Amino acid sequence: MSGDGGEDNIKRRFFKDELESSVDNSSTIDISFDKKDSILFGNSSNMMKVEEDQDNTQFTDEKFKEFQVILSGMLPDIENDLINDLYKRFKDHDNLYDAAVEFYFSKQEVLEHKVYEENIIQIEEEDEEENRQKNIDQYPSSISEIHNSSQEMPNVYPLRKRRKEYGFRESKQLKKSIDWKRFIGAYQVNAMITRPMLKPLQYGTGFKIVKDIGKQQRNKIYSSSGKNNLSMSSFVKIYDSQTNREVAKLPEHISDIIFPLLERDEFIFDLTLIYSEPRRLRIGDNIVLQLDVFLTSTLFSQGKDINISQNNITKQAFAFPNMKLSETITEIENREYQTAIVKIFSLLNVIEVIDENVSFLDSDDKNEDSAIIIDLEGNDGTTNTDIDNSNIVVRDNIESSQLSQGNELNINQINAFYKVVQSDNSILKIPETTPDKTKFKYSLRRYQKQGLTWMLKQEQEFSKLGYDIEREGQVDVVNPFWKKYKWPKDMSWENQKIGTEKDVTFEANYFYSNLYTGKFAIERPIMRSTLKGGILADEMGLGKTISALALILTVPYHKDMPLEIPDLSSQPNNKLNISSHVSQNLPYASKTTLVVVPMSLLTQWYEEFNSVNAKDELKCEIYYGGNVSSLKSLLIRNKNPPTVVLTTYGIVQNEWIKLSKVTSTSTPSGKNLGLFSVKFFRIILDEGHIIRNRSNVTSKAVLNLSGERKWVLTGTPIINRIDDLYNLINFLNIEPWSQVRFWKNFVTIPFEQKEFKKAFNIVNSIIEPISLRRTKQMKDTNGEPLVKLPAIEVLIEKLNMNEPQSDVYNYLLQGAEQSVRKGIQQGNLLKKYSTILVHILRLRQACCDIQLLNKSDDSDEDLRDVSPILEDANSLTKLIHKSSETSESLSINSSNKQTINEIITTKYLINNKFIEVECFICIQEPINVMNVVFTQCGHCFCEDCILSYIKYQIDKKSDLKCPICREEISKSSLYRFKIDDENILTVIPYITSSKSAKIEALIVHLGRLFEKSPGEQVVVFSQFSSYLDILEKELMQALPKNTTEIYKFDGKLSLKERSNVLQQFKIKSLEKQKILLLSLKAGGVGLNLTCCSHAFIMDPWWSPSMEDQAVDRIHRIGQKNPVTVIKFIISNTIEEKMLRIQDRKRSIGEAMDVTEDTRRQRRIEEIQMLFE
Amino acid sequence: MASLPKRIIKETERLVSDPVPGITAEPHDDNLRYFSVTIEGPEGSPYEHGIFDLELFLPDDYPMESPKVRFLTKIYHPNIDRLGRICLDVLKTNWSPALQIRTVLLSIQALLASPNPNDPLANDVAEDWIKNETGAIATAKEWTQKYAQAKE
Repeated sequence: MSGDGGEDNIKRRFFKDELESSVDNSSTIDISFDKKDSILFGNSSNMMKVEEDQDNTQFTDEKFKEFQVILSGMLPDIENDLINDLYKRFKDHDNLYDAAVEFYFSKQEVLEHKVYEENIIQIEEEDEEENRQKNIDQYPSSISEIHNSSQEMPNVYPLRKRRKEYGFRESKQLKKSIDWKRFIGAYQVNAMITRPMLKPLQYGTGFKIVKDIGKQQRNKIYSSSGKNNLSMSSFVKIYDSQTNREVAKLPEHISDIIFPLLERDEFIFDLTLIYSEPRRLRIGDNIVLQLDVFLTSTLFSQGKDINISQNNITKQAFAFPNMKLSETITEIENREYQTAIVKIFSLLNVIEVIDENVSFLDSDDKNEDSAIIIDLEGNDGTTNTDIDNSNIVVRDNIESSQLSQGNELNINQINAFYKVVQSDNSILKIPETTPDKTKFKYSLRRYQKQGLTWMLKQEQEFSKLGYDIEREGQVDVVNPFWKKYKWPKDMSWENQKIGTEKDVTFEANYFYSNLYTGKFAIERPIMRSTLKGGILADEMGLGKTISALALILTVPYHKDMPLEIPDLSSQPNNKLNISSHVSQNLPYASKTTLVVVPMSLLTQWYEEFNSVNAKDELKCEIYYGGNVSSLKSLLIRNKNPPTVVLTTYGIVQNEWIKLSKVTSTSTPSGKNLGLFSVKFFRIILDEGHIIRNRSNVTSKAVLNLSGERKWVLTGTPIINRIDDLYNLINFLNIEPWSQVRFWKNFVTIPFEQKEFKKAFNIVNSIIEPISLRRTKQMKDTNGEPLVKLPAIEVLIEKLNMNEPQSDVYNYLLQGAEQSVRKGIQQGNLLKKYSTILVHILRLRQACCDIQLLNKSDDSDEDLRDVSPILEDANSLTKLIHKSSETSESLSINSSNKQTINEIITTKYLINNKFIEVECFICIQEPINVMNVVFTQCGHCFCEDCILSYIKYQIDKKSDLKCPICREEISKSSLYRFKIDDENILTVIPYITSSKSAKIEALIVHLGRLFEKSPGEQVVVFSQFSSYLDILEKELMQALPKNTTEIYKFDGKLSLKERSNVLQQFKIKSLEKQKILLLSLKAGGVGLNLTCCSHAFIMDPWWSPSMEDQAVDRIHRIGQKNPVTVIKFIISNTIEEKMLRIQDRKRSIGEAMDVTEDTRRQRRIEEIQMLFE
Repeated sequence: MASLPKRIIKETERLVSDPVPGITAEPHDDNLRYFSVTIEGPEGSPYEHGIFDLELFLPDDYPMESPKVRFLTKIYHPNIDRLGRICLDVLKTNWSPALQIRTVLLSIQALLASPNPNDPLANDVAEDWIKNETGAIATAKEWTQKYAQAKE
C-alpha cells in the first residue's frame, strides 16, 4: 500500500481503537468489531501460534496484486484499505472474488459508516485524544471489566481472525530448551528510527530486539568496577524481522535495563508497533512500540546455575579476604542480570503479593482475593506521557525510590515474621523425637528431644520424626527475600490481537521470585530446601554434643543418594574422572559425618560417641595427624566407612595450608588431599565460633571443606562483634547472606551507622530460621526450667598476705603506681599499656605466691611476653630472697630440734599418741593433734590460739613470752606434729611464712573437706600454669600422702596424657582426696567435670565470663550435688579491684556495640580503677 | 555486745562446778562479763574473818588482756588504794592468757595474806606498815571488823 490515504487510515484507526475500546464494546456488527479492538485488550490468542499475517505494505505476492487489480476494476470506489481487509479475509476462500464482492455489498453500509466515523475522528483528532484521556481517567478500575468482555468476544465470533490489518510478524517458535513462556507485563516505549524508510510502518508490525555488540569484546562492555562503559542503547537494536535490518533504537533507559536480559533463554521480549507517523519515516522519528515481556520455563528451572555462580563469588571472597572483591566477567554479567530483573519488574510494575494475615507461615494460598494483581493500568496511563522524555526521568526516579522502599518494607516484614518465630513458645512447642533405642543408648532430656526434632527438620529427614508431620501442620519458613507474585492476565499484543488458544500448560496463579538473587520459582520456595543444617546455639552445658550425636546416629548416612553422584564414587578406578572434577564434584562420602572439634574435646567426643552408640557397625575414627594414609579411600572405597570422622581445627588448617601450597604449584592432584578430597555427608563444627574470624587461616580452611549438610555447634555465636556471625552463615551457605555484599549492606553498614536495631533485626531474621538456642533459664511448657541444675554457691574468701608476701607486693605496687601516674600525666597511658600490664601481672602473681615471680615458665602465656622491665630487679630478688632466707634460717635455727623433739615426745606422747591436753588459752581439751602447736619451751596450745596471741602481742608491741612459763618465744620457733604414712608422729617446725596465704587457706579447706566428705574430688583453677606447679609441690608436702592424689591438667600435656589424667581423676575413691589442678587456658572449654562439686578459683580473671566458663565445667548437666566454689582474694590488693572490674564488665556487657574508641576508653578506666 | 567467747562460758561453768574455797564469783545476769566476787580473808592474816566484796570485769580482749578487778569493801592494805584498786603483777605486766579468773582471785587472796609494802599503791598505808607494822596490822584488823563483815 502506498497511498497517503492508507496512512491516514492507520492513524485514524489507532485513535478510533482507543476510543472504542474504552467507551463502547457492545457493538454487534462484525466489521465494526474489527476495528474496535484496543491496543492492549483483545482476544486472547495463542501466543505460540505461528502467525502468518501478511501486511499489505509488504504484500509482494502475485495473488494479492491480481486481487487488487480485479477488485478495483469491479468496485472502482473501493479503498485500498478495504481491499486489504477483504483480501485477508477471503484469500483462502475458494471463490475469492465472489465472496469478497458479496461481503462488500452486504456489509457496505457498515463499512461506510465506519469510514465516516473515522473521518470525523480525524477531524477532531485533538479532542479525541483528550476524550481518550478522560475516558481512561473515568474508568480506571474498569479495566478488568473491559478486559473480561473483550475476552469473551472470541466465543461470540469464534471464526474470526485478523489477517489484514497488522504488519508483518515473524513466526516465532520457542527454542527447544524452553517449555513454555508466560506473559509478565507490557510496556509502551517510543523508539527512534535509525534508518529512513520510504513506507510508513504498519500497525501491528512485529520487531525483534537484537543484541548487537559488534566487534566489542565481551569483557569490554563492563568496566572492572562492573559499571557500564557505554550506554547499552548502542548495543540494543530493533530489527525489522522481515529484512533483518536495523530500523530503530530503544530509548536508553529501556535498553540499559533489558540489555543483560537479552539473548538469554529466561526472558522473551516481543515488540509490536502500535503507532507510527503515517508518512515516510526519517532518522530520528519516533514510533510507539509495545514491549511484551514473557518469562520462560528456563527462568524457573535455572535457579541452580545461578546459585553455583554465586558460590563462586563468595568462595573467591574468601580466598582473598583482604582484597577488594573482584569479579570475573561472568560474575559481573550475573550481577547485571540480577539488577536488570529488579529493574524490569519495577518497569513493568510487577507488584509483589502481600498476604494480609501476615505471615509467610501459611502454606496454602488462601488469600488469592487479597492478592494484588500485576497492574497494567499504570502502564496504560503513562502511555502518552511516556513519549515525553522529561517524564521518563521522573519515572526513573520513582523507580529508584520504589526500589529502596522495597528494602525497607522487607525489613518490616522480616520483623513481623520473626517475632512469631522468636517467641519462646514456638521453641517449646516443638514436638519431641525420641531416638531409636537400638541406635542411641542415652536417653535424652525433653528439650534435647525437641532439639532433635528441629535438627531433623532442618535436614528434611521427616520420616525420622517422632510424629506425623501432616497432622502437625508443618511450618514452612519462607526466605523473606522471596516474594510472591501473581501471574498477570496475558495482555500481550499478540495474544489480544491474534491468538485464541490458551496454551499455558500450567494453571499456577502465582510465582515466586527472589529479586536479590534473580531466582524464580513456581512453587513456594522454602528455606530448608536450600539449607540442610543450621546452628545449634544452646547455652553451655545443655548438651549440644549429645544432641549432635543423637542426630548423627538417627540419620547416619545419606539414604537416597542422588543418582549422578554415585556414578562418581562407584567408579573409583576412574582416577582421571575424579581428579579432573572441580571441588564441587568431589567424591561423595555419603556415609560419613565429619566432626571438627577443638583438640581438648577430641577424646570426649570419641568417648561419648562410643558410649551412646548402640550399633556395632557404626564407628567413630579419629583423624589426627596423618594416621590415615588416604582418607578418600577409607571413606569411599571402603564398604563400611566410619560413621564419624573426628578431627581438630588444627588438622583442617594444616591440610589446608598443605593444599594451598600444592595448588599454588598447580598440581591438579593436590585437590585430593585428606579432608578436602571428599564431600562429606555432614560436617559438624563443635565450638564453631572458632571460625568467626574471616581472615583466619583456620576459618578459610574450614570454609573449604565440602559437605552436604552442615552444622555449627556453639554456645556463643557472637563473641565480640556482629560480624562474628558472618562466617558461620557463610559456612552454612545461607543465601543471600553468604554473599559478602549482602551482609555488608544489610548488617555491617547499618551497624556501623549505629542503626543497631535495624542490623539486629536483620541478624535475627537471618539467624532465627536456622538456629536453635535454648538457655538454662528457659522454662518448658509446664513452667519447669529446662535444666534443673543443683544450687551453686560462689564464695569469695578474703585473705591477708603473709609478711614477705606483702613486703614484695608493696614494693611492686610502688613501681606500678609510679609508672601509671607517669602515664596518666603524660597522657600516653595506652602506649605504656604493655608495661603496665606487666606491672599488673607481677602484682597478681605476688598475690598468689611470691615464688611465682621467680618463675619464667615458657608454658605460661602471660609470663612469656614479660620482658625484664623491672629496672631494679635486684632489689626485688633481694626481697624475695629475704623471705626465703627466713624460712631457711628457721630450719637452721632449729638445730636444737632434737632436744625439743625429746621434750615434746616425752611430755605429750604416750605410745606415739598425743595425750589429751588442755590449751591454756582457750581452755578447751583435748587439743586436736593436727592443730597443736608447741613453743620452744615445750608448752602446747591450739594453733589458732597461739597464733592470735602472738599477733596480739606483736600488735601491742609487747614482748613475746610463753603464756605459761613466760619464756621468750618467737613465731619462728614453733613446732607441730607431722603424721607420716605409718601414723607416726614426728615434731617438725611450724612454718608459716613459706606458704602463701592462698595456699595455706587452700590446704585448710582441703583438710576440712576431706574430714567432712572423704572421696570428694576437687578442682583447683588457676590461670598461671606455673602456679599450678607450685600448688602441686606445696599440696604434696602439706597433705597426707596416703589419702591425696594430685592431678595436673595444663597445656604441656599431650592429647593422650590429657585423657589419661581426666580418666584417672574421674574414678571415685572414698579413701582418697583427688585434686585436679586445672589450667583453664588448656582445658577450659568443653571439659566435663561433673564428678566434682567443689572448686577453688585461686586467682581472679579479668573477664567474668572466663570464670563462668570455669564454673561451668562442674556446674553443668550431669551435676547432681550442690556446687560450692570458693574464690580466694587477697584483701586490699589488686585482686579486690579486679573483682570490681569484673562487676563492671558484667553490667556493661562485654561485647556488643562497642567501638574501638570506647573500648580504649574503658581500658584506661580499668587501669585507673586498679590504681586509684 | 559481742557473743561470749567459749572460754568465758567455760570458766564461769567451772567457777560454779568447782568453786575455790573462800572465793565466790558470780556473773551478773545482764552482763556476763561482769562478776561479783567475794574473798574471805586468809587465815592468820589481819583480814581473817573478813569477807571482802570485789568487782571483776572481763574486757573484750580477754583473755589476751587481763581482767579488771577492784575491791569494793574498804580495806587497809599497802597494795590496795582507797579506791580499791589492786597492785598485782598478774593484773598488769605479768598477765598471760594462760591465767584465768580463778587464778587471778587466788593471787588476790594471796596478796591479802602477804602484803608487800615495798611495792606500794597506797603510800600512806605502806609507810605506816613499814614504820609500825603492829599498829598497821591492828588498823587492818579494825577495818576488817568494821567494814568486812558478812551481811546477814
